[in-house]
Amino acid sequence: MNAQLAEAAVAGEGREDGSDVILDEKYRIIPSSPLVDLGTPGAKAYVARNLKNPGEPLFARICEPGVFPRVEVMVQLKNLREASAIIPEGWGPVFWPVTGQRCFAIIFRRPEGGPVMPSLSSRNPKIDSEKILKSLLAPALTTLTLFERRKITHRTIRPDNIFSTGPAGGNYIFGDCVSVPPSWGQSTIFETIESSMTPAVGRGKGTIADDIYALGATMLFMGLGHCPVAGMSDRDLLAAKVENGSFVTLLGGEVIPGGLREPIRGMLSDDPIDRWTLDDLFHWSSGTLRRSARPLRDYRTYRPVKFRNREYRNTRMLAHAYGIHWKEAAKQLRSKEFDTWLHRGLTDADLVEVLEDIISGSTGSDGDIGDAKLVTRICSAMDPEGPLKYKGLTVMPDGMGYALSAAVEDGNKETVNLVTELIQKGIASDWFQQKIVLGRTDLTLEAKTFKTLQQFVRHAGPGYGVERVLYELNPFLPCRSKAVTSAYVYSLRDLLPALEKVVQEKGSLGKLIDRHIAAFIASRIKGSVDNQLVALENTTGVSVAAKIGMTGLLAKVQNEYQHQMTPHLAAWLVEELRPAIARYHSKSLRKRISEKMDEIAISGNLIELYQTLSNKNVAAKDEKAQGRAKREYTDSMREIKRLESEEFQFEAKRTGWRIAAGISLVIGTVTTIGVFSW
Amino acid sequence: MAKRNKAPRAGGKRIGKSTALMFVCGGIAFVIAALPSVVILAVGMIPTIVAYIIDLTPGRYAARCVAGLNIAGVVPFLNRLWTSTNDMAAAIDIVTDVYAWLAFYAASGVGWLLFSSLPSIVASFKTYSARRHANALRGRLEELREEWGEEISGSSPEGLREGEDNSGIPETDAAPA
Repeated sequence: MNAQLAEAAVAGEGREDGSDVILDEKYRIIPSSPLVDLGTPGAKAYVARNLKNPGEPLFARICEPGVFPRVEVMVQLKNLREASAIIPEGWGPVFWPVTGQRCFAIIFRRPEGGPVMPSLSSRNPKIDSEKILKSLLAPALTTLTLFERRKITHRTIRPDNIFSTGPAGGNYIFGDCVSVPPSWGQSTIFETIESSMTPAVGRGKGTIADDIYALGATMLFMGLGHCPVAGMSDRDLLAAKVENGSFVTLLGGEVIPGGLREPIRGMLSDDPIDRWTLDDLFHWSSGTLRRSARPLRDYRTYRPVKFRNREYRNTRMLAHAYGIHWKEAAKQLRSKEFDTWLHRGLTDADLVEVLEDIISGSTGSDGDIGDAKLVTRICSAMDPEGPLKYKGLTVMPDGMGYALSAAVEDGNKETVNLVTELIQKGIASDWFQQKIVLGRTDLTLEAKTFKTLQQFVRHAGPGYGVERVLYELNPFLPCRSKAVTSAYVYSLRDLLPALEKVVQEKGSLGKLIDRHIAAFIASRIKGSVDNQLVALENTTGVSVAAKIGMTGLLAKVQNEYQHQMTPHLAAWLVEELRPAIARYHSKSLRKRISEKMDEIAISGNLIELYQTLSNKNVAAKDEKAQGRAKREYTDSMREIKRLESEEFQFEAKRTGWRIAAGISLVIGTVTTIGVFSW
Repeated sequence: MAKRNKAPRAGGKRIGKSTALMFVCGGIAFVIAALPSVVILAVGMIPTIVAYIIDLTPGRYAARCVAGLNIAGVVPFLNRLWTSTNDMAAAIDIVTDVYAWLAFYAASGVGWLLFSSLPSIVASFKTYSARRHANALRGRLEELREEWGEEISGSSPEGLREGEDNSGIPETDAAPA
């Protein structure tokens, strides 16, 4: 049976019986058996079976096209068996008959119970505080500690993604957090103020503090039996959180169950510095919490400021509004009225000084860029915990990659250009630098990363640019090249087989120079590909040199996965690169190379193909030999001319005379000697 | 340096003149001392003197050819003179001998024959050899054109083939590891 399944998996792209899908020759996913309860926005759930142990309760989530799972977290979670969370058992791209293309599938063990709340709008029986603390908080703290050690976050903690491990008396476990990008589909109810200001795609993976906040909100709603703010709009919710604080807002005027007030208030603190940490929660659980009072950051203003016909009494909300309407914000920031408000409306003298410095440092002569930079810096100063705001784009520093990938996927050129501009003009780096100066030393690594990305964006050639940034920021993003989009190539190992299959089916890749493939390889490959990228950058896309450069990149991939011979791809490349033979001057060398390329077209060895066409020793020898041949040709021409000249005829005659004179002299001498000596 | 070069040249001229004077004196002395031999040489070497006068070839190769064989024809009679009384009478006997004249002119004739025939033979041989060499070179030129194309002769501009831009081709020494 297993052998048959394995055969089917190889022959039919993992399909068995035309409908079931086989993953890794280990799991069978049944497309005809969807599991609505276990699905999530962006990833539907289906029944799955372990081929070796069909009784094992499994389900699979199939990521929709354009939704990219958190593979880096799956790798971490795979062996984290002690975590109270649904752990991915296996994953990988499969051909999904429902969509007709390859999709990413993740296998999970089915939780014994259902979600603690089927939806946020539903009303459920209140759960006892003791039960929440014992069955949810205690295992959650252990799980989040394990997450923190591995520098990963959950980011989808909410009541409908928490499952019970049994009908009664069991613990609660976190649901899946890997099928969709972090915070994807997560209501702003469970997001901190700064995260709520950011669109879901730009929230980033966040920190454990974000998970603690979401856990606090979840515990609150489980204790209340419903979510009092489920009907509020995101905007109203954000405004209420800013004005009244998250704890008060989410409580919605209800009475918090006894025993939960203290931890939930700490977990829902809007100041990340003040928010309870895992240690605080552990200490509180054991009754040994010793927390010194910390000064809270006050965002309130002394006097309101009017912007777009609305009065703001809080710098966070003002920064949020400035970030959205940046052009009007820049105008206001440079006005005399704002300067007056700065001195009369703000109580924080240090903040006034910082804002004055920023405004006076911006001359306004740079046009839109100057205005945008000014607003970005002002927003950052007014709301130090808030997201990066630039020309209407709002994104958390670690959410840039997700925001960019979503924009590329949606064809949102405006966002793509904004992200590129952010990086290229050093605005992101400056933003990080500003944060580091304000004490966020944990962002040093990100600042360095964005400096490197700035270098990539400054180069325009394939292998660089925004595509390179896309793959650098999203280490597990599948290659977005149109040639392999449907193949879901998220690992470099899958690239050559996918390209080989495309050529096998269509006869060609279309165009060889593909910015996405070049950037994908450049960001994923071990070692340097600068030589190949320079060739791609310095030449036009249609030139042979560029094509050889691209072949070099593919050869690098084959060098890393040496068992991957690609005869169809090689045969197509050979035809594409045939004009490159003209680079050599020697006809016999060209013939030899041509014959070698024909052999390569059969063997599929791209390394040999690249070496053949880019070997500088062969090229140099050919160049030298041509020089020698030219000299030989000139010398021979000169020699022929000399041999056929009148001068040569005369010289020949003169030689005859010399010989005759010599013979005569010899006869004379011999006769003289002979006569006198005889 | 120029002065140093000039001084030996001036000295050399002086030495040349004195040497010439010495040769002239020696020559006069030789003529007086060996008059019979001089008579035979003067009569016997007439073909050479004539050849020297009429020879217009650069290097006077005709005179050289005639001279060598002319001497070969005169030497036996000088030997006869020196092995006999070696006086003017013996010398007169020799120069009036028809066989002696026959010997002088026959030998000179062979010299003329050598001069007129051998250079043509040598030139023909060399021309033939040169033609073969030229043909071999033409074959080689053809091979070179075949191997490197017409541009090697400079007859067609050496440009990019098939309109390709080959600049900036990445180059490797070994495997792209």
